[in-house]
Amino acid sequence: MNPNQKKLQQQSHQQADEHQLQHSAQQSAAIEFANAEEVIRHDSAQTTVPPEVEARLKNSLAQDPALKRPWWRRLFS
Amino acid sequence: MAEPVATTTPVPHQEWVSQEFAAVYQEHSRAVYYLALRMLGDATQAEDATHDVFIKAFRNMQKFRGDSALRTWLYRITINHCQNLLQAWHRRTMVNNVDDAVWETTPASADSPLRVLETKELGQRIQKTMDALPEEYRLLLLLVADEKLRYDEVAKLTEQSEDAVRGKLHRARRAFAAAFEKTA
Repeated sequence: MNPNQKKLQQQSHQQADEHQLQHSAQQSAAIEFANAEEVIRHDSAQTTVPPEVEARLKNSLAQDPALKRPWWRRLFS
Repeated sequence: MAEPVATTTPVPHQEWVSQEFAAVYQEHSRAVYYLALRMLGDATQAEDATHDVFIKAFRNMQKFRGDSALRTWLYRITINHCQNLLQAWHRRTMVNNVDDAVWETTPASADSPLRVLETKELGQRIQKTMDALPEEYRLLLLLVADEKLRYDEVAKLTEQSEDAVRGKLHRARRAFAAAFEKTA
Protein backbone atom coordinates (compact mmCIF):
# COMPACT_ATOMS: atom_id res chain seq x y z
CA MET A 1 0.00 0.00 0.00
CA ASN A 2 1.48 3.34 -0.99
CA PRO A 3 1.50 6.23 1.53
CA ASN A 4 -1.34 8.02 -0.25
CA GLN A 5 -3.61 5.00 -0.10
CA LYS A 6 -2.77 4.50 3.57
CA LYS A 7 -3.60 8.14 4.30
CA LEU A 8 -6.94 7.86 2.47
CA GLN A 9 -7.81 4.71 4.39
CA GLN A 10 -7.03 6.41 7.69
CA GLN A 11 -9.21 9.37 6.73
CA SER A 12 -12.03 7.05 5.78
CA HIS A 13 -11.81 5.23 9.14
CA GLN A 14 -11.72 8.54 10.97
CA GLN A 15 -14.85 9.75 9.16
CA ALA A 16 -16.64 6.51 9.95
CA ASP A 17 -15.73 6.84 13.62
CA GLU A 18 -16.96 10.43 13.73
CA HIS A 19 -20.22 9.41 12.06
CA GLN A 20 -20.63 6.61 14.59
CA LEU A 21 -19.97 9.04 17.46
CA GLN A 22 -22.53 11.51 16.12
CA HIS A 23 -25.10 8.74 15.72
CA SER A 24 -24.48 7.51 19.28
CA ALA A 25 -24.76 11.05 20.63
CA GLN A 26 -28.09 11.51 18.87
CA GLN A 27 -29.36 8.22 20.20
CA SER A 28 -28.33 9.02 23.78
CA ALA A 29 -29.94 12.47 23.52
CA ALA A 30 -33.34 10.95 22.70
CA ILE A 31 -35.92 11.37 25.40
CA GLU A 32 -38.92 9.14 25.75
CA PHE A 33 -42.20 10.34 27.18
CA ALA A 34 -44.85 7.91 28.34
CA ASN A 35 -47.75 9.99 27.07
CA ALA A 36 -48.93 13.41 25.88
CA GLU A 37 -49.15 14.86 29.39
CA GLU A 38 -45.50 14.04 30.07
CA VAL A 39 -44.37 15.85 26.92
CA ILE A 40 -46.52 18.85 27.79
CA ARG A 41 -45.27 18.85 31.40
CA HIS A 42 -41.68 18.80 30.18
CA ASP A 43 -42.36 21.64 27.74
CA SER A 44 -44.14 23.67 30.40
CA ALA A 45 -41.22 23.26 32.80
CA GLN A 46 -38.88 24.59 30.11
CA THR A 47 -41.08 27.62 29.50
CA THR A 48 -40.50 30.84 31.38
CA VAL A 49 -42.72 33.87 31.51
CA PRO A 50 -40.94 36.82 29.88
CA PRO A 51 -40.00 39.31 32.64
CA GLU A 52 -41.65 42.13 30.65
CA VAL A 53 -45.03 40.70 31.64
CA GLU A 54 -44.30 41.20 35.32
CA ALA A 55 -43.05 44.76 34.73
CA ARG A 56 -46.14 45.63 32.67
CA LEU A 57 -48.43 44.10 35.23
CA LYS A 58 -46.84 46.03 38.11
CA ASN A 59 -47.30 49.27 36.17
CA SER A 60 -50.87 48.50 35.21
CA LEU A 61 -51.79 47.57 38.76
CA ALA A 62 -50.20 50.72 40.14
CA GLN A 63 -52.57 52.74 37.95
CA ASP A 64 -55.59 50.52 38.45
CA PRO A 65 -58.73 52.23 39.77
CA ALA A 66 -59.46 49.14 41.84
CA LEU A 67 -56.65 50.26 44.11
CA LYS A 68 -59.00 52.81 45.63
CA ARG A 69 -60.68 49.97 47.46
CA PRO A 70 -58.15 47.15 47.25
CA TRP A 71 -59.29 43.62 47.89
CA TRP A 72 -56.43 42.76 50.21
CA ARG A 73 -57.28 45.65 52.54
CA ARG A 74 -60.88 44.42 52.67
CA LEU A 75 -59.72 40.90 53.32
CA PHE A 76 -56.96 41.61 55.79
CA SER A 77 -58.30 44.63 57.65
CA MET B 1 -18.52 54.12 12.78
CA ALA B 2 -20.49 51.94 15.12
CA GLU B 3 -24.08 51.20 14.20
CA PRO B 4 -26.64 52.77 16.50
CA VAL B 5 -28.04 50.26 18.96
CA ALA B 6 -31.80 49.90 18.89
CA THR B 7 -33.30 50.86 22.20
CA THR B 8 -36.69 50.13 23.63
CA THR B 9 -38.65 52.51 25.82
CA PRO B 10 -37.49 51.80 29.36
CA VAL B 11 -40.19 50.63 31.70
CA PRO B 12 -39.93 52.49 34.99
CA HIS B 13 -39.17 50.23 37.89
CA GLN B 14 -42.34 49.63 39.82
CA GLU B 15 -42.93 47.71 43.01
CA TRP B 16 -45.87 45.38 43.47
CA VAL B 17 -48.89 47.17 44.90
CA SER B 18 -49.61 44.12 47.02
CA GLN B 19 -47.20 41.48 48.28
CA GLU B 20 -50.07 39.00 48.51
CA PHE B 21 -50.78 39.45 44.83
CA ALA B 22 -47.06 39.28 44.04
CA ALA B 23 -47.03 35.82 45.65
CA VAL B 24 -50.06 34.80 43.57
CA TYR B 25 -48.25 35.90 40.42
CA GLN B 26 -45.02 34.13 41.32
CA GLU B 27 -46.81 30.86 41.99
CA HIS B 28 -49.21 30.76 39.07
CA SER B 29 -47.89 32.96 36.26
CA ARG B 30 -46.05 30.19 34.44
CA ALA B 31 -49.12 27.94 34.42
CA VAL B 32 -51.30 30.77 33.13
CA TYR B 33 -48.76 31.83 30.52
CA TYR B 34 -48.22 28.27 29.29
CA LEU B 35 -51.94 27.58 28.97
CA ALA B 36 -52.41 30.84 27.04
CA LEU B 37 -49.35 30.11 24.88
CA ARG B 38 -50.59 26.72 23.78
CA MET B 39 -54.20 27.84 23.38
CA LEU B 40 -53.32 30.91 21.32
CA GLY B 41 -50.17 29.57 19.66
CA ASP B 42 -48.39 32.90 19.80
CA ALA B 43 -45.90 34.10 22.41
CA THR B 44 -46.74 37.81 22.15
CA GLN B 45 -50.44 37.18 22.46
CA ALA B 46 -49.81 34.84 25.36
CA GLU B 47 -47.88 37.62 27.12
CA ASP B 48 -50.79 40.02 26.61
CA ALA B 49 -53.25 37.39 27.77
CA THR B 50 -51.22 36.66 30.91
CA HIS B 51 -51.14 40.36 31.73
CA ASP B 52 -54.89 40.70 31.15
CA VAL B 53 -55.73 37.57 33.13
CA PHE B 54 -53.85 38.82 36.19
CA ILE B 55 -55.46 42.25 35.87
CA LYS B 56 -58.88 40.58 35.84
CA ALA B 57 -57.87 38.39 38.77
CA PHE B 58 -56.67 41.41 40.72
CA ARG B 59 -59.89 43.33 40.11
CA ASN B 60 -62.04 40.36 41.02
CA MET B 61 -60.04 38.93 43.88
CA GLN B 62 -62.77 39.80 46.36
CA LYS B 63 -65.12 37.55 44.37
CA PHE B 64 -62.80 34.59 44.84
CA ARG B 65 -64.39 32.77 47.76
CA GLY B 66 -62.06 29.83 47.95
CA ASP B 67 -64.69 27.36 46.73
CA SER B 68 -62.13 26.17 44.23
CA ALA B 69 -58.35 26.26 44.26
CA LEU B 70 -56.83 29.55 43.20
CA ARG B 71 -55.10 27.78 40.28
CA THR B 72 -58.46 26.51 39.03
CA TRP B 73 -59.99 29.98 39.31
CA LEU B 74 -57.10 31.52 37.36
CA TYR B 75 -57.40 28.82 34.72
CA ARG B 76 -61.12 29.59 34.38
CA ILE B 77 -60.29 33.24 33.68
CA THR B 78 -57.52 32.22 31.25
CA ILE B 79 -59.71 29.79 29.33
CA ASN B 80 -62.55 32.31 29.00
CA HIS B 81 -60.13 35.04 27.97
CA CYS B 82 -58.38 32.92 25.33
CA GLN B 83 -61.63 31.48 23.96
CA ASN B 84 -63.02 34.99 23.59
CA LEU B 85 -59.90 36.07 21.74
CA LEU B 86 -59.99 33.06 19.45
CA GLN B 87 -63.67 33.58 18.67
CA ALA B 88 -63.17 37.29 18.03
CA TRP B 89 -60.14 36.92 15.86
CA HIS B 90 -61.27 34.01 13.70
CA ARG B 91 -57.74 33.87 12.50
CA ARG B 92 -56.75 30.41 13.52
CA THR B 93 -58.09 27.25 11.98
CA MET B 94 -59.95 25.37 14.60
CA VAL B 95 -60.51 21.69 13.96
CA ASN B 96 -63.60 21.55 16.14
CA ASN B 97 -65.69 19.75 13.59
CA VAL B 98 -63.36 16.85 13.11
CA ASP B 99 -65.24 13.66 13.64
CA ASP B 100 -63.84 11.67 16.55
CA ALA B 101 -63.78 8.67 14.25
CA VAL B 102 -60.85 10.21 12.38
CA TRP B 103 -58.75 9.85 15.50
CA GLU B 104 -60.17 6.41 16.26
CA THR B 105 -58.61 5.09 13.07
CA THR B 106 -55.20 6.67 13.52
CA PRO B 107 -52.44 4.09 13.86
CA ALA B 108 -50.71 5.65 16.87
CA SER B 109 -51.34 4.07 20.21
CA ALA B 110 -51.94 6.13 23.33
CA ASP B 111 -49.71 3.70 25.21
CA SER B 112 -46.68 3.94 22.92
CA PRO B 113 -43.91 6.16 24.26
CA LEU B 114 -43.29 9.43 22.45
CA ARG B 115 -39.68 9.73 21.37
CA VAL B 116 -38.00 13.10 21.05
CA LEU B 117 -34.51 13.64 19.63
CA GLU B 118 -34.30 17.42 19.55
CA THR B 119 -35.73 19.00 22.67
CA LYS B 120 -34.93 22.51 21.48
CA GLU B 121 -37.68 22.26 18.89
CA LEU B 122 -40.07 20.49 21.18
CA GLY B 123 -42.17 23.60 21.75
CA GLN B 124 -42.76 24.05 18.03
CA ARG B 125 -43.68 20.39 17.62
CA ILE B 126 -46.11 20.56 20.52
CA GLN B 127 -47.72 23.69 19.09
CA LYS B 128 -48.12 22.07 15.67
CA THR B 129 -49.62 19.04 17.35
CA MET B 130 -51.99 21.14 19.44
CA ASP B 131 -53.09 23.09 16.37
CA ALA B 132 -54.05 19.83 14.70
CA LEU B 133 -56.23 18.68 17.60
CA PRO B 134 -59.85 19.52 18.30
CA GLU B 135 -60.00 22.33 20.85
CA GLU B 136 -61.63 20.03 23.39
CA TYR B 137 -58.72 17.57 23.31
CA ARG B 138 -56.15 20.35 23.39
CA LEU B 139 -57.61 21.92 26.51
CA LEU B 140 -58.11 18.57 28.21
CA LEU B 141 -54.47 17.55 27.73
CA LEU B 142 -53.15 20.93 28.86
CA LEU B 143 -55.19 20.77 32.05
CA VAL B 144 -54.54 17.13 32.88
CA ALA B 145 -50.80 17.75 32.37
CA ASP B 146 -50.90 20.14 35.32
CA GLU B 147 -50.24 17.91 38.30
CA LYS B 148 -51.76 20.50 40.62
CA LEU B 149 -55.22 19.89 39.16
CA ARG B 150 -57.40 16.98 40.22
CA TYR B 151 -59.71 15.20 37.78
CA ASP B 152 -62.79 16.76 39.38
CA GLU B 153 -61.27 20.22 38.84
CA VAL B 154 -60.49 19.42 35.19
CA ALA B 155 -64.08 18.17 34.86
CA LYS B 156 -65.43 21.47 36.22
CA LEU B 157 -63.18 23.56 34.01
CA THR B 158 -64.20 21.64 30.91
CA GLU B 159 -67.85 21.43 32.03
CA GLN B 160 -68.25 17.69 31.95
CA SER B 161 -68.25 14.70 34.29
CA GLU B 162 -65.09 13.05 35.59
CA ASP B 163 -66.04 9.89 33.70
CA ALA B 164 -66.29 11.89 30.49
CA VAL B 165 -62.87 13.39 31.17
CA ARG B 166 -61.34 9.94 31.63
CA GLY B 167 -63.00 8.62 28.48
CA LYS B 168 -61.98 11.55 26.33
CA LEU B 169 -58.48 11.64 27.75
CA HIS B 170 -57.68 8.28 26.21
CA ARG B 171 -58.82 9.49 22.79
CA ALA B 172 -57.01 12.79 23.26
CA ARG B 173 -53.75 10.97 24.04
CA ARG B 174 -54.11 8.86 20.94
CA ALA B 175 -54.89 11.89 18.80
CA PHE B 176 -51.89 13.70 20.24
CA ALA B 177 -49.57 10.74 19.59
CA ALA B 178 -50.74 10.49 15.97
CA ALA B 179 -50.37 14.22 15.31
CA PHE B 180 -47.07 14.42 17.19
CA GLU B 181 -45.57 11.64 15.05
CA LYS B 182 -46.35 13.65 11.93
CA THR B 183 -44.38 16.64 13.20
CA ALA B 184 -41.09 14.69 13.43
